[in-house]
Amino acid sequence: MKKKSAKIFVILFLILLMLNFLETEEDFPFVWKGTIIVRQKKLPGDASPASGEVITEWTLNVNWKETRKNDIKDKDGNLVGQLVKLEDNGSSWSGETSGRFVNASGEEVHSGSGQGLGPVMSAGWLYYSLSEKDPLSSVLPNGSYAFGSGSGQTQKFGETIEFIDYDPPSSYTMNSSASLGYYVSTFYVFLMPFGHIGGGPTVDGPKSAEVIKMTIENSERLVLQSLPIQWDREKNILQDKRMSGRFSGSWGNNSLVNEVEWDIGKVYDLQGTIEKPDQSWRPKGGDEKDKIDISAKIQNLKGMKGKWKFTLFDVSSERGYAMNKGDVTDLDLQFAEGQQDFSEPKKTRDGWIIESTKTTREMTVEVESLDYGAWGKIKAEVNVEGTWYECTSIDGDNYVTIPYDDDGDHIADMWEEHFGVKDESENADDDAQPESKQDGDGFTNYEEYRGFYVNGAWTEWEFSPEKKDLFIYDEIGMGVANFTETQLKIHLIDKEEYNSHRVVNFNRGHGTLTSQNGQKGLYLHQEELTGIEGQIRPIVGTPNVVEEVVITSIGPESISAYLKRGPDGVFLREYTWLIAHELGHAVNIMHHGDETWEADRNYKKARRGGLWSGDITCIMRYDATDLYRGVDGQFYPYPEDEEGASSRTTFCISPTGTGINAPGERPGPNGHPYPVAADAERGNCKNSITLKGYKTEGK
Amino acid sequence: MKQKNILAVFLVSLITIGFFSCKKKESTTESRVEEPLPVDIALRYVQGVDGLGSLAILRIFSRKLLQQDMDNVIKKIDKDRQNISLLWPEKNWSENVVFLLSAGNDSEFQKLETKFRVLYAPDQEELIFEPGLVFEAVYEFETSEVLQPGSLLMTEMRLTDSTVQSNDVEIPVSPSDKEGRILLKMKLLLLSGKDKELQAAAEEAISENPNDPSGYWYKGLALENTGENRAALAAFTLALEKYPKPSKGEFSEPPMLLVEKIRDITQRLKEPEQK
Repeated sequence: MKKKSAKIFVILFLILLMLNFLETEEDFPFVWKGTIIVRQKKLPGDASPASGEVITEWTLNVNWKETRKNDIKDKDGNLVGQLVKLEDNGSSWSGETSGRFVNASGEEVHSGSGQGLGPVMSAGWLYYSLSEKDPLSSVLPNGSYAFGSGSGQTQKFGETIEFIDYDPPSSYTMNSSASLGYYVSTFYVFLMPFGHIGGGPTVDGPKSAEVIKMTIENSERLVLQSLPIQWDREKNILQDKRMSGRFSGSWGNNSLVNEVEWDIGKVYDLQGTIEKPDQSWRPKGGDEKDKIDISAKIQNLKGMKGKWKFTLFDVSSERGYAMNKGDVTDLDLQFAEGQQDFSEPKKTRDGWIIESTKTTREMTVEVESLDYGAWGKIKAEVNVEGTWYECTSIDGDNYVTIPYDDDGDHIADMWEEHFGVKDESENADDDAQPESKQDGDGFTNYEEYRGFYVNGAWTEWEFSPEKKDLFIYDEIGMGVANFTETQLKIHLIDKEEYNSHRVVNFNRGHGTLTSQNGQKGLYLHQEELTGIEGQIRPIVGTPNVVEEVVITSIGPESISAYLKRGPDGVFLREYTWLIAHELGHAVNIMHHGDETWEADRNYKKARRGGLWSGDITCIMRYDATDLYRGVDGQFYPYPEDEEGASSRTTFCISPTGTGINAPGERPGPNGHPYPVAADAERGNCKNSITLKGYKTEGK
Repeated sequence: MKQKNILAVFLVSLITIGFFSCKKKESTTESRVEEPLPVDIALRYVQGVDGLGSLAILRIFSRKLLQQDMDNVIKKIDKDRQNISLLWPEKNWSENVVFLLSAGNDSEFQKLETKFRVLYAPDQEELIFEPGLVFEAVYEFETSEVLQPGSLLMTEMRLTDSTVQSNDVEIPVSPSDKEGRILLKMKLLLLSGKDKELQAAAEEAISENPNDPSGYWYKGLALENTGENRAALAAFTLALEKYPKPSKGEFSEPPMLLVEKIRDITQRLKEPEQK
C-alpha cells in the first residue's frame, strides 16, 4: 500500500514537473514606454529690467498600457478602426528647478527638485485605422495619437527662492509655480467628439466614423483659434510604431517658454529583474582577486526568451589595488574571462559590456574584482525581437552596485555594518579609539575599508573606522615596545609600503581627506648621535610633520662595545623604553615639562613640573636622575629605588603626580622632603596624541 | 517501468546539478600564495671617506613576529609565543650574501662586484628570533670603494630554500667640507672598532672645530673603549659644556646619554676608592 502511494506521489510530482516545463503560449501584453521631457523656461519678460532665467524641467518616464479598445464603424456597420485609450501602468517622474533673476533690488536664486511615482498624463489616445475605406483617414490617419496633462498635481515639488542683497535678505520655500502642463497633438485631444481631457472613449460615445469626421471638420477651425498658444498644434502620427516629436511655444510677453520632447515606443510589458549581489561579498585585489555572480531574469511572459547584455559602468579606477600596493590605474571590475555562453567582453570608457551568445529567460554573469576597493554599477538588458528591455532591481533602479552598497559610497554595506558606520560618509575620519583630543587617524572610512598591505599581506577587518591606525617603518627591527600602551593600532610596514615621502595612502583617490596631502607613516631608524639617545627630526608633531625618529646606536649596548664582547647577537632591549618615548614625540606628545637642565659637571637635577614630574608610570618621563630640588630649595639625591618597576611603562592620563611625585608635602622614607618633582606642567600624554594634520609641539 | 526511468533520470540530474554547484564553489576559492619566510633584513649604510671603506650594517629580525607580539599585547592575549628559529651557519653571513646596486631611476639591480669582508657577525649555528632581539652583521667594503651617490644599494641573502631581500638605501653624497668628512670618518672608525684611529680623528675634529661637541664625544668613546677612563671623563665633560641648545623649529632630547656617560665613568673611577 505504501509502495503504491509512493508511486502515485512520484507520478504526480513528475506530471507537475512536466507541466512546469511545457510552457503554454501566452498572449504577451504590450505597453508604451519612453520619455517625455517638459522644459519650462521663465524669462524676465520684455517689460522687466531684470535679467537671467529660471528653468524647470521634468523627465516623465512613461509606462502606459492600452485599455478600452472601441471599435469604430462606418454607417454601413463595417469595422473601419479602433480607438484605444491609454492609461497609466506605473510611470514615474523627476523634476528640477534652477536659475536666477537679477534686478535692481538684488538677486533671486531659484532651486528645488523632486521625484515620484504616478500618472504623467491625464488623457491619451491612439487611433488604428483598420480599413482602406476608413472615412476617418483624412482627419484621423492610421496611427494618430494625442496625450497630455494639465493637472500637474502629482509632479509638483518644493522650490526655494533665496533673495540676495534684498533688504532685509530673505529666503522662503514655495511650491513650484511652474506646474506641469503639456499637450501633444492638442488638436486631437480637444476634437475627440466622444470625450475630453480627463475623460476618454466610452461605450456610450459616438462610434460612427462619419459622425466623428463631421465633428472634427466642423470644429477644427474654431478649436484651433481657441487653443492656448503654448500647446502643440500639430497632428502627430506614429512613426515606425513610435510616438516621437517635439514642440515649443511661448506666451506672456515671451516670458514663459514651454518645450516638450517625447519618444515613446510600443514594447512588451516585460518585467526583467537584476539581483543585487551577495551581501556578504566584498571585493579583493592583487593575488586575491575575487569573483561574484550577478543574475538577471525575465519575471513574467512565460516562454519569452531574449539575448542578454550586461553593462558594467561607473566602475572605479583607483590607482594600484590597495591603498599602498600596486601602481596601475585601470578599471577595478571586469567580467571574468572565458565565460560560457558569452562573447568576449568589450571595454567602454567607464566599464565593460558583455553579451550572451544564446537566448534564455535568465542569465548569470561572473564579475571579477581587481582592487580591494573596487566598485561599480551593473545593469542587465534583454533583447526581445530587436528591442532592449532594462531589468530593474528590487529597489526599482535599473542597476545594482557591486559590491552590495545601498548608500553608494563605494564601501560594501557588510563592512559598514560590521563596524556600525553605515550612516557615515566614505570620507569620514572619526576614529575615536583610543580617546584623545583629536579624533581620526588621517585615513577615511573608504581608505580603511580598501585597506593596506602590512609586511606583505592584506588582512580582512584589519583596519577599523573606530581605531586609530599608525604605520611605522621600523628599520631597527626592535618593534615599538611599550608604545603599544597608547592603544593605537600599530602596523609595522615594509619600506615599500609607504612612498618616498612616507605617505602610506599613496594610492588615494576616492573618499580621501582634502585637508591634507596624504597621511604619513613614521620612519624609525638608528644612527650614531652625539651624546643623545634619541632625536625627533625636525620637531615634535604629528607623523605628517616628523620626518625621522632616530635612536642612537651608541650606548651601553653599542656595536663598538659589542664587537669586543662576543658573538651573541646584538641585544638592544634597553632601548625599548627609548623607542616608545621617541615614538610618543612622533604622535605629538611633549615632555611633562620643559627642562632647564644644567651642565653641572656630572649631575642632572630634577625640578618641579619638569622632565621627571607627574605620573611616574608615564613613558614620557625621563629615567632616574641624580638630584632633585626639594620644597626647601635644597638638592637631595633622586630616590631612584622608589620609582618602582612600573616606572615609565605606560602613557599618563593626567598631569597629577603619582608615587614620589604625588601631591602633598611630606617627608619621604629617607626623611627628604616630598613630592620630588610634583605634578607635571603638561602630562595627560595619552590625550595629547594627534595623528592627522600638521600639528606641532603638542598643540 | 517508464516512470522508474524518469525518476532515475530526475535523480541523476539532481545529483549532477549538486555536483556542479559544489564544484563551482570550490573553483571560487583561489589557492593562497605561500607565506614568505617571516624574517626581514634591514640595511644601513655608512659612506666610506678618505680611504676608509663603506660599511653596510645588516640587521636580521622578524617584523612579522614583532607585529604578532604587539597585536597580542594590545588584544591582551596571553598566547604562547612561537619564536622563529633558523639554522644559520656562519656562511650565511658571508657566502650567501649578495650586495646589489642599481643606478636608481627604476634601473635594475646588478650584483655589486666590490669585495667586502665580514667585520662582525654572530657565529652561532641557529638563530632564534624573538621580539626585541636583533642579530646584526657589519660588512666593510674595499677601502677604495665609494659608491656613486644617488644609486641604490640592497642586500639579498640566500637561505636554504628561499631568498630574503633587504630594503634599499640611497647612497648619499659624500660630504665635501672637512668638518663633515671628519664626522663621517669618526662614525666609520667607531663602527669598525678602530679606537686608536678614532681618537686621532677626534683630535683632528676638535682642532678643526673646538666648539663642536662631536669631537669630544668621539674622543671620549675612543678613550673609554681603550680603558682610559679619566681622560674619557674629561672629554665627555667638555662635550657636555659645548652642547648646543636646539634652535626654534628643531627638537632634540637633552644629552642625557652624555650625562650618563659622565656619571658612569665617575662612578667607575670612585669604585676602587670605596673598596
